[in-house]
Amino acid sequence: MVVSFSIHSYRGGTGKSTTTANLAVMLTLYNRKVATVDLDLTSPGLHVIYQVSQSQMKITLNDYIYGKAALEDVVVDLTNQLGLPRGKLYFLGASMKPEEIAKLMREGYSERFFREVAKQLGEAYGVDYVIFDTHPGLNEDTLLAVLSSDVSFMLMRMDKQDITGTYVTAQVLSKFNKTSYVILNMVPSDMAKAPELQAEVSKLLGVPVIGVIPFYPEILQHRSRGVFILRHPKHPYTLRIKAVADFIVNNIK
Amino acid sequence: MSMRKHYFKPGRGESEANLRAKISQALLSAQTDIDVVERKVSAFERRLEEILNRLDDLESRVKKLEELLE
Repeated sequence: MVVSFSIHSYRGGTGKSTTTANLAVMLTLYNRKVATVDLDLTSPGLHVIYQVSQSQMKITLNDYIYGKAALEDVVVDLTNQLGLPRGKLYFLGASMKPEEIAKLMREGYSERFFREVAKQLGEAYGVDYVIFDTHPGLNEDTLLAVLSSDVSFMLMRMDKQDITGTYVTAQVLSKFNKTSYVILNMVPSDMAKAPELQAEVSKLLGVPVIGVIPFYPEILQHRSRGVFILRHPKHPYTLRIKAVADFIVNNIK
Repeated sequence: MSMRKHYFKPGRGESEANLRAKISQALLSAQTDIDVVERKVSAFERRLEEILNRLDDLESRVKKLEELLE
């Protein structure tokens, strides 16, 4: 049974791609098969973190979406490339060509795409989890991605604009009875220490907060050169990502 | 891995049109509630400020205690 997640945020720069990449790798360490799909079409970035070369991305998700290529031609198996000791990690990258980005932005996705790609990834690769790294914002296409996946993870920074946007997003999703969770990211260190923070944010949004990830300058210094948790397995960031993965493995079936 | 290749057939069904209409409706109604949202977020920020102040106070007391113990 494949479970699909969307990782969404109201604003850009909240760390969606970094979280997606690290969380996916962490889930493989639980011996899970994970596929990550880069749907941040205007600024695809997962391939940079995974260090996928352009030659590995000759055929992209855009070709699959328009029926021009098979799923198997788009999927890049990163398991050996990243030296993962167990599990499997697959990557589906979006096109970097401006005309293809513009075409998809103009025409939008099809709701069926999300269900089909998850189902086919299950059939072809036996994946346990499909993670959609979505485009930020509160617009029809992004909401379609969020609503078409089984579970939604909203990433939120603790600034007023993001809190307001995430609140509105949570309200919209609640109208669809969507299973949603919030992960607080880049939380100022003094705030991350407050034991009530998780409960207070959950109360405001009406959505469980399943992770509080403080701001670590080391993540910025890492500059998306590879998957952080693989290079720094004992860093507190890695432990925070592990806590989120624990929650997923134990609670989301 | 199965041998059969998997393709996606582009196209949209009636259910998608319905879902998109529902999303548009939900977005419109969310926008009309913006005053309520502002009030709730401001109240939350005040609460957060209280928590942080309490935490600061606690930390400074711990520091003083540590200094006394030294």
